[in-house]
Amino acid sequence: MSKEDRNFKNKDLDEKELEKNSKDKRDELSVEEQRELTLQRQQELAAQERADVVISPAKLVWQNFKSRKITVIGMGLFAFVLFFVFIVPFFQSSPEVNSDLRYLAPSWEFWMGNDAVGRDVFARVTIGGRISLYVGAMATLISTIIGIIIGSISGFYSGIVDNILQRFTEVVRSFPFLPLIITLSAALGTDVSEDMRIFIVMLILGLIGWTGLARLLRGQILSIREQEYILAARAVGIKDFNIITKHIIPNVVSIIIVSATLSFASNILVESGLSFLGFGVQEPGASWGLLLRQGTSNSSVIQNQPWLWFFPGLFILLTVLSVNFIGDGLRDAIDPKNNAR
Amino acid sequence: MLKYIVKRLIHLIPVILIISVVLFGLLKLMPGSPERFMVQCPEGQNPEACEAARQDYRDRYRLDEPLVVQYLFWAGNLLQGDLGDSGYFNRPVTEVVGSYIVNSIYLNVVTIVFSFLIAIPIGIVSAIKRYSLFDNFWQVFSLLGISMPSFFFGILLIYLFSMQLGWFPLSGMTDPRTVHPSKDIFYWVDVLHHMILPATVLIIQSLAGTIRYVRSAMIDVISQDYIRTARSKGLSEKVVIYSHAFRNALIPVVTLIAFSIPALFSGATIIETIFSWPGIGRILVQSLQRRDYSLVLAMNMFYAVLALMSNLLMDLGYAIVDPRVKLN
Repeated sequence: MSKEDRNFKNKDLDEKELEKNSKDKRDELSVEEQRELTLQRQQELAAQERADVVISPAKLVWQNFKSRKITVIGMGLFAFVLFFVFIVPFFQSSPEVNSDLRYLAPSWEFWMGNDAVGRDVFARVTIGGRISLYVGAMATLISTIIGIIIGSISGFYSGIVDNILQRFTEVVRSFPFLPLIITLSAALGTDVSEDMRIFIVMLILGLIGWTGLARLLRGQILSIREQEYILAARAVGIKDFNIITKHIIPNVVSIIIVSATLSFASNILVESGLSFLGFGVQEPGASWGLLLRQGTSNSSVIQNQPWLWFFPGLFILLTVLSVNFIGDGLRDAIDPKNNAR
Repeated sequence: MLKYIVKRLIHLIPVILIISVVLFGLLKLMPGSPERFMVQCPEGQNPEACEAARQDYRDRYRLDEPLVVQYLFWAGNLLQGDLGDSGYFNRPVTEVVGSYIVNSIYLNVVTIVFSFLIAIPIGIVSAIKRYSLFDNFWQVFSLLGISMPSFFFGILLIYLFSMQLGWFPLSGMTDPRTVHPSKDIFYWVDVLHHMILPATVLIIQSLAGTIRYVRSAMIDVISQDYIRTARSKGLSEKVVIYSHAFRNALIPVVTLIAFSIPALFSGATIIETIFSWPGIGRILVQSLQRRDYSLVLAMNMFYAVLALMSNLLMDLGYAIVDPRVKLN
């Protein structure tokens, strides 16, 4: 039962109760008091009606969004990951090499054990998470911006511009995604600095990942473009740039948000896969994928020091899962087909 | 139909051209000169002979000429089916790819067959019983499958099933201790035994996406007017679902199958690496580490062509099974 249904039923009940109450009392009350009661009731009803009828689209989406159990779980999980990655490091010392602590199993002092050179895995996981999230977020930002620009230009100006951009999108889309990133990252070599390397991984992910959003937006904008208010905006003489940014983009914001959320999740996955294969973030930096790579360097480590790979892997899973839960919930909440149920 | 295919193929030519230029340029960006990796000089070998061998290599691939000439030379050979030699294997690239691709195909055939066999019934029942416990379970399952990093999942399976329980071998495709003189039944049993873990990872990952796809295709069909008409005629729910809805929901599913045919040949980079499965995904990673340029270039071209082909097949699949779609 949806929220609106519930509200409606409640209203029915309230009305009946009110009526009963007033009937009981009516005999005992004076005329003035009766009038007052009726007025009061009318006001209450009107207030209820206002609350029921006037719901802004954003509020409707929010109500849909938070009424689903899965999204609440997703938000809780994501908040936990954020807390772990951004707040916890303030309360711990940075992981240091200590040969006395090599391969120590998880204990009260070191919750996730120690790695091959005695560093605290817990601290490494929190730091690695920051890089994983950062790369994922920046790559998503880049790909979303490119996607919006290409998608809206391609949808707004049909004809030759659209044709060229379409071909261009097709070329980028046909690039073998993972093999290409691996090749690119190997091509850029290992002699660049750590920060530069992270930046490059981010850039590559962003420069390749925009095609899905661009195609989606183009399709949407093609239909929005034909609507009367865009014609009106053109007739008034508003510049194309302003029509796109002020009249078209706000109509597709929901698509952009959903697409960005889901691509954030997949970017975290791709980055960790890349680092896992040894083509992404490298020592002394840390990312969850790299930690997993180090924890699985040979089968003896996999078997005897499972904490080295289990915790980074678990955190990748939790993060991606929570973001996907949120993205999925957003998509369902925004989809008007779901409001009917 | 034929006209449409020809037109699409002509459209592909500039796309392939651009991709080949970009990939070629990328490979030229790789650090180090290729002949140093391709012609190894062991200690004690006559340095002059080695230099001569390297110069031979440079001459053979026209490495001293301008980039444009190098590209044209490479592209010309490519058109004649010559992709160059792999430095590491010392064999033509086509031969190397050909001998490893078979192993990738085994793994992919099993994955695709099983994931469709499992996903289609689940997706359809989920769509019919929308928001039921069954549906919710598979929805969460598929989100889990999408979110699970394949390498983490693979290692978990290795840890649990081959290290702790000892049910399955750690890695590889056959047991190194047994020799298989021919591909008899014992060979295939051995391969299957090795395949179970990597195939499980791949199947669960592909299940996740396929279930959602089938479910949404079925939901789309169920909400159509002709389904309401069928119901209002008084047909039983069974007839409505299985003969009216199901057959139409198959349209997008068939196209998804068409889309996954080229994927049969693509190999799985991460899974093949983790399980040391001798397929072409693993060869790509190894060639990059060995800086085996011509092999990397050839494989990237191969992947690009596969991607273009699956797009084309998907569109054609639509046109063949859905009479409403008109090609132009």
